[in-house]
Amino acid sequence: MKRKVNIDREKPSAEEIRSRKDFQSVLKEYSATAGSGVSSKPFLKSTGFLIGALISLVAAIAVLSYSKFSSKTTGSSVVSESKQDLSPEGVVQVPISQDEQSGTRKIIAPPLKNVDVPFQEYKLNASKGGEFTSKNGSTIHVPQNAFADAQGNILQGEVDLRFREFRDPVDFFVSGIPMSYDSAGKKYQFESGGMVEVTGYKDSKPIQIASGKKVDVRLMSVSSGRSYNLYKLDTASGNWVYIGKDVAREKTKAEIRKQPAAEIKKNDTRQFESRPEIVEIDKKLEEAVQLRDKAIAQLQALPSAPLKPQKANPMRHRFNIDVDSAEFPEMKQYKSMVFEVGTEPENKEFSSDMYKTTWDDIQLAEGSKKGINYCLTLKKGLETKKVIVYPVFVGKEYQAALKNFNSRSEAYNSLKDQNTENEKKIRRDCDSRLADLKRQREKKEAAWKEEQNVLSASKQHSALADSLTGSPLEREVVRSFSLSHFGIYNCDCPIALPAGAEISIRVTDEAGKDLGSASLYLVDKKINGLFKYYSKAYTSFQFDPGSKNMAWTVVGGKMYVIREMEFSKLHTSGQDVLHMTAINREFKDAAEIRSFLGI
Amino acid sequence: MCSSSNSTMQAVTINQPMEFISKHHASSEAMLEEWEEIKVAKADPAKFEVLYDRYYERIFSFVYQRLEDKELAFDTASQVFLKAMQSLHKYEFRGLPFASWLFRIAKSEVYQLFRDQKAERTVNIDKVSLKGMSDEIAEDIYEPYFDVLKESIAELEEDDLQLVEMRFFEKRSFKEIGEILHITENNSKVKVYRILDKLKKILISKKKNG
Repeated sequence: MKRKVNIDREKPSAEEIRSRKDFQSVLKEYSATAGSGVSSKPFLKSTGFLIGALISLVAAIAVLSYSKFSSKTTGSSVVSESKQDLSPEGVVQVPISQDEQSGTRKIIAPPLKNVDVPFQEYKLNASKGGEFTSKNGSTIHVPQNAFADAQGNILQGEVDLRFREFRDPVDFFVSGIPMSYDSAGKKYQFESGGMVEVTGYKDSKPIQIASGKKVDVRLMSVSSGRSYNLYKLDTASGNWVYIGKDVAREKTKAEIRKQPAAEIKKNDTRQFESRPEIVEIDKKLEEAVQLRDKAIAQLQALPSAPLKPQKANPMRHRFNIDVDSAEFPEMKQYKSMVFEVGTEPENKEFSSDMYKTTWDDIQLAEGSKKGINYCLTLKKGLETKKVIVYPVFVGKEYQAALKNFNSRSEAYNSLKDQNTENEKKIRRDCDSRLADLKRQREKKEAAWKEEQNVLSASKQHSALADSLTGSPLEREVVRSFSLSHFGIYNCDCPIALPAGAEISIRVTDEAGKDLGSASLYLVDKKINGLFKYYSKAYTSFQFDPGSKNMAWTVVGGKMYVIREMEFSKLHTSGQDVLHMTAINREFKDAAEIRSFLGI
Repeated sequence: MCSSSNSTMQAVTINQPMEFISKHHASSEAMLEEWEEIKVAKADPAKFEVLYDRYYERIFSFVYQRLEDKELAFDTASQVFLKAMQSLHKYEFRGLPFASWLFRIAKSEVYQLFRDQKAERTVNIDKVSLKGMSDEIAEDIYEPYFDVLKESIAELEEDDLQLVEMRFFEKRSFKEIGEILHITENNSKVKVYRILDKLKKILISKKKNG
């Protein structure tokens, strides 16, 4: 039989196929034919019932006879087929992929150890039902008697409802949930309007939504779009099954006000502060200050400043005291020093009779004017006398002390000047280093702000464009849908790969070492989705060069990233190498990754 | 929203290893959930829309793979769903995907077109799939033998051609092929690899004869 052969015939686009969908016409025609008794009209009411019943009876007998025959002969039939399948040369080789053999391909595989989107858990009375609000403001409404056990028995008592939301590319990434959709043999990626997983347990055993019951979800979505398709993930096969369409409406101001503050804060400066290059600069800034302080502290310690000697007042009383220079080092430099009684009111008890007493104990302590005066305490038995005294010199002792003071002052001032000069130099060096680091930081901050402004302008532009078409971007909407089964649901729009550039890539680390065959995750910031490239698709790596792109991969549990700046330098055709920077840190959760990557 | 350009439609390699992991499979759970939708549609034909939406593209592609005329393919796809709705009251869940039932209706409709001589049997081959097929044959296709393989495929018996189309050009699993053609999964495997063996011999023979 000769047939016409086409090679690489152009296929109709998904849009064209979708545009030709017209269920109403099919339904209309169905109704017309049903009305004429051609098909699904209740057959018992038709005039042909008796004849039909007779034919059916004959057919039933025939089918029954065939079934009996088949059941008896099935085994021999299989054997017969097996014999036929052996070619004269031997057994035909039938390679079977491992996945097809096991049938247990792991559909959901979080790529990072210990990082996943956590469940929020709610306890409720199954008989009463209830309504819960998630951290992001989404609500789940459970009607009364909505749950059943595996056998379908309606449950009572407390059950655990577990709920988690996936809102952006980082959530999609860490969850490991496939974001591709196969439609009519073509592969699409999902642009997500939000994804949820809802499960339930009673006494740690999985439960199900009871037959005929619906759990209503109102999902707070960050992606606008009036209505997305709703898909459910078949976790056994990895297929997304089309369920219908969600119902989307814009969030009210009240709902936005209720929204947790953390969600509203987007693109704040924390994203900038947590960038690795900024963390590094901040660390160097801190180190520079610490080094400066340490160097200043290590400058030669200045001795106590020399005290200018005071000449004794011949009109005042004096004490000769043998001072311990270890206790009063400021006095060490002076010999022949005496202590003159001060004129303070505290000294009103002083009298020359004190000289006549042999005191048991004499103590000297610092006075109210540090380094200038002292408190002399005289003790005998229970009697104690206190006198404020001043160190002074008498006669030629004063001249000697003054000379000594001048000499010491000169040395002291010289050392002080030297220290001051050294400290100034240390500070100058440090300030220069700090200024250099701050300039680097400011430059990066300016670039980041510009990036944010461009992003913001782009969003505004898109929002403006969308407002003209009635589909505003970045306006939050509530997406409503009902679940009759637990599982993972996705409000999505299948989209094709980004267009504009298609290159063959190699993926390496910064040193140029090949990173092997790990999957590559591409984020196009115009789209709330995640494009995943297996290494076999590296030969046709597609991206939109006009968009803000970044990509990352995971090798041996470690993330490697190529950021927007480097990504923008990639060729748009031919071949190129993606030099990925290793991220030398372990992330605790999706929020850390989001912050680190600036998503 | 939801925009995509024609130029990007060719990119089917993403996220798809070379081994055939059919995306047409459905798990038992999914099939049971779908059975509930079918029961609803049996009671209210308007509710068939969700199934129509889910499978329209796949049915159209199945039909268009075998036809030359695109408009006829669109009409035939609609006819498939009309027939499905008309026969839905007879449909019972027997552990097989609903899609297989639709594909059987589609196959029947397409072959009726050929029998009525309303359409010409067309074989649509894409080079990427042909390369994948040659990998399975374990024969490198050089330019002269590309045409040989293409012609050999076009001249296969209809039953064999169907298997090649489903396996290599529509990338269906053996299980699904079995479900559509009413044969066992193992039988579909054996049949496919016998056809490959046959094609390999043709290629070797052509190579020997220059």
